[in-house]
Amino acid sequence: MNLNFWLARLLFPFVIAAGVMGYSFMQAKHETRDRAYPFPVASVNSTLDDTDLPAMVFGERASTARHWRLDNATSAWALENSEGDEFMRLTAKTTGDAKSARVHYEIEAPKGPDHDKLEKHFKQNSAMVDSYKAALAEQVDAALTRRPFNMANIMGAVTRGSLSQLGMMGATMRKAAAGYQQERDDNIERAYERQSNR
Amino acid sequence: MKYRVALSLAVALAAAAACSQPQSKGQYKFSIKEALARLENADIAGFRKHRQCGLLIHFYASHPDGHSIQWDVTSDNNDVVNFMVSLSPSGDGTKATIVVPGESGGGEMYDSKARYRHPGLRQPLRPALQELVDSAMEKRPFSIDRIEGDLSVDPVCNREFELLASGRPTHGIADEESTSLEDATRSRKNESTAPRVRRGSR
Repeated sequence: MNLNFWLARLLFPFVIAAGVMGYSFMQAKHETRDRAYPFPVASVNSTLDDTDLPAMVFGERASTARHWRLDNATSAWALENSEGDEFMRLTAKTTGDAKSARVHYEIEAPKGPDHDKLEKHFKQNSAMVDSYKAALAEQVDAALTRRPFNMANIMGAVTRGSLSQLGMMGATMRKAAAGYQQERDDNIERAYERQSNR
Repeated sequence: MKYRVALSLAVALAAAAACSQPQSKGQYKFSIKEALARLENADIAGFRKHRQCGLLIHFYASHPDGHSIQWDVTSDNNDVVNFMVSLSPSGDGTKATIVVPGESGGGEMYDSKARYRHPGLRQPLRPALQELVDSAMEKRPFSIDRIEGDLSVDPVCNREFELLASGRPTHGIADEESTSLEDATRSRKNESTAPRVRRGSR
């Protein structure tokens, strides 16, 4: 075995990892782009107003998010903490006419005392922010094209977001996900028990 | 010699593939009596877990005749939907036909085109029922991964399921659409909600 053989063996995982990161980066760019539709802008706005955040990505925050029309062109979703303080705002801004529409997605730090801190956090975690943006874009695209939300369509952004959070992943995340699922199952079981005890 | 081995392998693979060919949809190679017994043990709990929305739903099994099984799905003592599996002889086995009531505007109940103020089950219902029947016949748990075809998106169902799964009060089937959740919950608490006693509830 010569030196080149061992070098190639050692470098192989890094080449694969670099390939995955490069691919996910390119895909993430694609998944967070503006989307264009051959529908009247009014119809796209109406769909936006009826669309919730995808639970598959946002979990229970999808159902508690505040959703309203910010202005004629902008629909907004606000994620709030348990005290009701907004900590993330997602917006979908439409441009277009009676024949076609374009949707642009943004994630902003809400105005308030924590604005600067949140904005800095979003900049430092831009890959995670992009994965949320891609998830909303996919949810809206699914609604407009009448198909189910497809996680596979945002795998680039999600992978990139996940890779950026590697420190938090692994066993801890799996445990948390299993615990989260168990908690949801327990909540449902408890609801049935409460009903049968009434 | 090499060719003989290759030929034997090819024959063996072809035989294995033929043996593992699934039976036609809804056709099962055992008697009506056996099919009925297997359907009685269908994984209704798994079906409910994967297909419910936000309503608390209950399944009641009954036998309209000697070769059918019917499940009535209720919520707060109100009918949500019912479905029946009717068995008939077919060749040397049994054919299972799923019957779902029609919708007043055409089509079937919960066929993805129907919209409900507070849906009881995810749509479309029929492919999920097919998996319920298949899983019962194969004596295995209901598996959401085996449901064929597209699963439609029902925002109302998703929203109400999230409320239920996150442990918050959910709507009742009789609640008005415009009623706030707090008012609806308060009003339900004041009602007599003794569960209707029926056999076969799960």
